[in-house]
Amino acid sequence: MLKPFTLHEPATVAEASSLLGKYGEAARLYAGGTELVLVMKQGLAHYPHLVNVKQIPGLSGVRQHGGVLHIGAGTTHRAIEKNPLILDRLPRLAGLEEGVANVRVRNVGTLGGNLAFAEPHADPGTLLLALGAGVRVQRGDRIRRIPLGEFFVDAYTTALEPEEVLVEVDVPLPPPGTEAVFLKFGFLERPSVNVAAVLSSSDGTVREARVAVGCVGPKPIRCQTAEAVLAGVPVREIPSAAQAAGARAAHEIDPIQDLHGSADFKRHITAVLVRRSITAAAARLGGGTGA
Amino acid sequence: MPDGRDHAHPPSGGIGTSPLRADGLSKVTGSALYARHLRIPGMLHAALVRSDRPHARILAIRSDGARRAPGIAGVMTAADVRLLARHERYGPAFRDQPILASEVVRHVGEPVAAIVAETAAAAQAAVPIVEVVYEDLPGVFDPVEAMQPGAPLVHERVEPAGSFADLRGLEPAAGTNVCLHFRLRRGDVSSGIRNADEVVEETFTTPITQHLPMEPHAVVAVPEANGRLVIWSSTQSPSFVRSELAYLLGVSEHAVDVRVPYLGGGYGSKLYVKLEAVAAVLALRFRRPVAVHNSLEDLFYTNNRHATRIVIRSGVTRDGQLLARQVQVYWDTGAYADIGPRICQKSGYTASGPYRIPHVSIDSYCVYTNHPPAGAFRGFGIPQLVWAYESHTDTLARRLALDPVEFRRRNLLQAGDPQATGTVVRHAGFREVLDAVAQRLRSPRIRSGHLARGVGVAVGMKAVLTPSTSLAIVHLYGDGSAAVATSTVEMGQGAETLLSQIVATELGVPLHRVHVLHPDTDVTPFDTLTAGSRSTFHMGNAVRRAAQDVGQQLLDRAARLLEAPRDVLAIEDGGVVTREGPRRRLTFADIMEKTFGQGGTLVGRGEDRSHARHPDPATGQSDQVTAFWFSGAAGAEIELDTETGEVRVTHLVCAADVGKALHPRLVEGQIRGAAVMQLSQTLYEAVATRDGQLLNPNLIDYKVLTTAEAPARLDAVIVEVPHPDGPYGAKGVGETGSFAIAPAVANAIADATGRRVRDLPLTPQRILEALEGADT
Repeated sequence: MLKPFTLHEPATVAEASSLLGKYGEAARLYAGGTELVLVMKQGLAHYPHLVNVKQIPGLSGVRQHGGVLHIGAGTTHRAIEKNPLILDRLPRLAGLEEGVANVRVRNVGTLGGNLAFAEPHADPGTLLLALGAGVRVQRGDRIRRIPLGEFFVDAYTTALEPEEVLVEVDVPLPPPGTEAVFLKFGFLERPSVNVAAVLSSSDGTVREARVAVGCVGPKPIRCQTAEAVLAGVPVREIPSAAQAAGARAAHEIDPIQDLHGSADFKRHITAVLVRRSITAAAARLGGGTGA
Repeated sequence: MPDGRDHAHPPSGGIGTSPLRADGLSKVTGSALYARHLRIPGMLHAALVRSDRPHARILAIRSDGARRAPGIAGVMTAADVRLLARHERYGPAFRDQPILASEVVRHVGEPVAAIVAETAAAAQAAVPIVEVVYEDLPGVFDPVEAMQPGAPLVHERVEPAGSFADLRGLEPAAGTNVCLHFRLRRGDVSSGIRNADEVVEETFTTPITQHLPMEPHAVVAVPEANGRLVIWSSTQSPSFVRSELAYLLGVSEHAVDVRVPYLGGGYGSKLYVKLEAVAAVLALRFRRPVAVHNSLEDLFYTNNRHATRIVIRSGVTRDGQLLARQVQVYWDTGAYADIGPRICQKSGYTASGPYRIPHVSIDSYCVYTNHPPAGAFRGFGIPQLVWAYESHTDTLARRLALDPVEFRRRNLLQAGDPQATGTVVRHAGFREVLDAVAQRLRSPRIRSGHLARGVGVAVGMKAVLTPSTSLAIVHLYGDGSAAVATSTVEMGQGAETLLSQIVATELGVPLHRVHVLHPDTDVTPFDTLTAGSRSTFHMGNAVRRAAQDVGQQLLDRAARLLEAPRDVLAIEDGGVVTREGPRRRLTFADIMEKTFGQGGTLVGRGEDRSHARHPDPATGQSDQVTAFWFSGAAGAEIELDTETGEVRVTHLVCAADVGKALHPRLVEGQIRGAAVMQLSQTLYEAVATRDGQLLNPNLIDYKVLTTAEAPARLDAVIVEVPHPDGPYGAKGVGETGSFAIAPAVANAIADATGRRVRDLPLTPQRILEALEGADT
C-alpha cells in the first residue's frame, strides 16, 4: 500500500534542487513515477516528499544544436517515440522507445526518470551509451555534463550528487556512414538482455565500432574487446568478425543467475544479439546512411 | 425500464442466441458493485500481519506498540480467536487451517495477527510494529521429498472436515505428509508393459502459479444487533462459507448471511473460506463492521495452483495400440490442504488420458509442504495432467513413427468404452474436438536459418464434480416479470445472462423481464459452488425446472380461469394460449390479477442433484464416478528462434465440446479466455521459490501474458455433442479451453526441432537446453 507523501511542484530546476537540499534523504525527484511509485507501493522504499519535475517549463522537448540532439529530461518515452526530429535523425531511439513497457508507461514515464532511476533492466541507457550520449545535471545555477558511461555507477545508483537534477540528455548525431542497431531479448516483464551496436564507416571500412550490452549486469557497459575486433575491418567482412565480437562480449560481461536465466544462458543470448546487431548494422552500411 | 432496453435485449434472447450481457451496462459504466467497494457506516479496516518464515514456532507476539499507534482499534491473535470461536480451524477437506496461526506457522505469508483500525492506511502502517518472535523449524518444500521417511512433518495430525459427501471418507495416514493417496488399478499393468513392443517413461513438472483475478479477495463482516452476522464476500461458494462460518462460530446456519456482489474473476482462487473467517471474528470482537482486503501480492500467499511432478510410463504395440500405462502424480498442496485432496482424487480418475488402455495403474499423492496453500485453479488439476499425458502421447507417436493425430484417433475412448475408473463413457466428443482442431491447422514444418516452424495438437478430458447439488427459485411477479434466486456467482463468466435466458425461453418472456438475484444465503437457496464448469449444467437444469414449475402453476390457474382442459393450453410469449378450438389468450399479468386480485407472486422450485458411487479405495473402480465428461482439444502453430529459444505462437486453435452452446458468444469468450490464460501458464508463469520464500510475488517479477504476446490468430471452436441430461443438451465450458494448450505448444516445438521440454513454463532457456540435448 502506498504510504502518504507530500508532492512538491517547483517551477524551476533551482527550486527543485533546493527542495532536495531541504528534505535530504526524505525527498526524491518524481519524473513520471513508473519505477519509483512501484517500489514505494511494494514498501521497498518510502519518501515522504516527492518533488515533481515534470511541470518545470523547458525540461521537456527535443532540440537540435549543431551536431547534437538535446532531449529534455522530462520528455516522455511516448513523446520521443513520436518526435519528428528523433524519427528523422535518431530513428533507432524512436524504435527503442516504441518497445519500452506499454503505452501507459510510455505516456507518463520520462527519459530522465528512466536514466536517473538506473534500473539495470532498462532499454534507453544501452543505446544511448553506444551513441556516446551524456547527461546535463544542475544544482542551483551550476550545470555540469556527465558522460553516460560515468553516469551509471551501479544498480539503482548514478553519479548524481545530492541536490543535483538531471535536466537534459545530449546525443551527438551520428556522422554520415554510421549505422546503429538496438536489439533486445526478454520473456518477462522487463528485458533480459539488450545490445546496441554502432558502426561508423568510411571508404567501405569500419573506422569505429561501439557495442553496449545492458541488463546482464548492474549497469549497461561498453564491450571494448568486442569493439576491438571490428575497428578497421572492411564492411563486407564484418559478418564474419561479428561472430568473434559476440563471443568476446559474452566473455566480457559478468552476469548472475536470476529469474531471467542462468549466467551461461545470458552469455549465450548476449553473443547472439551482439552478432546479430553488428551484422544488421553492417548490412545497413551497405546501403543508406544515418542511425 | 427505459425504451432503449428493449432494443438492447430483443425478445430473441432465448437459448442459442447471443444477447448482450445482463451485467454489461453496469460493468462498462463502472457502476457494478464489488465487495471491495462497500463502505458501511462505522466500518473498521483490518491488515494482516503475515509470517515471514516457512515453518516456525511462534514464541511471542508483541503488539503493544501497534495497539498504541494512531487510529488503531485493536490487534487480534489466535489467543483472542479462541475466546470467540467454537472452532478455530477450517477447510473443505481437512479442518487444518487456523483462522490466525496458533503456535506454529507453516508457510510464508500465513496470517499471524490482525490489526484493526479506523482507516486501511492506519492498519497497514501498524503491521511492521507488531513483533513476532519465532523459533525456526525445519521445512519441506518438495512433495517427493516430503514423502520420504523422516521428512519434517507439516502437520502432526489433521481432522477430516466431512462437509462434502465425496470427501467424507478421507483417512489421512498419521505420521506422514501425504494427506491423500488415490489408487487406481485396472487390468494388470505389469503384464501389459511386458507384452508391449515399446515402453517409454517420462517425467514432467509444472510450477506453482497464481490465478491473479483482477479483484483480489475482499470481505466485509457486519455484526447485527440480534447476534447475526452479514458477510459480504467475493466468494465463489456462498453456501459453503455460510455453513463453515456457522461451524466455526458455533451458531446455526440461519445466523450467518453471506452476500456476494459481482466478482472480478475467480478462477478457483475464491472458493471455500479465505478471508471470511478472520473478518467474522474481527467483527464479533470489535462489534463493528470490519473490512479485510487482500492486495494483489497477498494472492500469492492465499492459494495458488498446485506444482506437480508426474511420472508416466506407457507400453504400446508396434502398430500403435496403447496396452498399459502407469502414472504417479505428486501434488504440492502447500501447508494447508484446502481442496487439494479432491483435486488429487478427481483428477486422478483421468490421469491416464482419454484413451482406451486395458492395463492402467494410477497413484496420485496429495502432499503437504511448507509452501503457501494450493487449491482449485481453472481446470482443477486437469491441465497439469494433460500437460504430461499429451506430451507423452506425442513422444510415443514419434517413437512409433506414427502421425500424432492418427495415433490419438486409434486410441481415443469411444461411446460405450469403460474409462480407467470403469465408468462408461457416453456423450463425450473426444474425437470431435480433436478433428475440429486438426482440420484447422496448417503451417507446414519448415526450418530456414535459425527459424523453425512446427505444429502440435493435444486433447484432454475431465470429469464434472460429482456429486453436487443446485437449487433454484423462480419468482413470477404480478406484472408477469420474473426473478431468479440462485447462489450461482457471477464472476465474469456470464451466468447471470445465461440463467435469465433459460427463464426467458421457458416462459416466453423477453430477457429484460427476467432479473437474476445476486447470491444472498438468506434468500437464495443452496448451491454446492460456482466452479468446475458446473453451473450451466446443474444450475441450468435447476433454473429450467423452477421456471417450468412456474409455468405449470400458470397453466393450472389458466385452465380454471378459461374453463379449458389443461392439456389444450400452452405457454407462449408471456401468456397462456389455447391450442385447440377458438384461440384464447391470457397474459401472465391477467392470470396473476385474476388469481391474486392485485400483485401476487408465484414461486417455482427446481433442483438438480448428481450422484456418484465412491470408487473402491483399492482399485479406484466405480461404475459412476461422474455425471458427465468434458472434452477439449488444442492445436498450435509456432515459430521458434533456434538461437535464442524464443517461441511465438502464430496460430492457436482451441476446441471445446460444450454439448450445446446456450449463448455462443459467451461460450466462445470462455474458450478464448481459458486458452489465453493457459497459454500464459505455458510460456511464462511460475512462482519462483527458495526454501519456502517466494521470489516474485508481484506483477513486476511474475510475468503474465499480455495482449502484446497473444497469438496473432486464435480460433475458438464450439463443438456440440449434446448430453441428454444437460439443459437443452448443454454441458459446461469454463475450463474446457484450458486442458490441452500447454502440450499442444510443446508438441509443436518438438515437431519443429525434434526436441522436447518436459518442464513448464516453456522458457527460452529450457528450449535452448533441450535443443542441445538428445533427440526425443
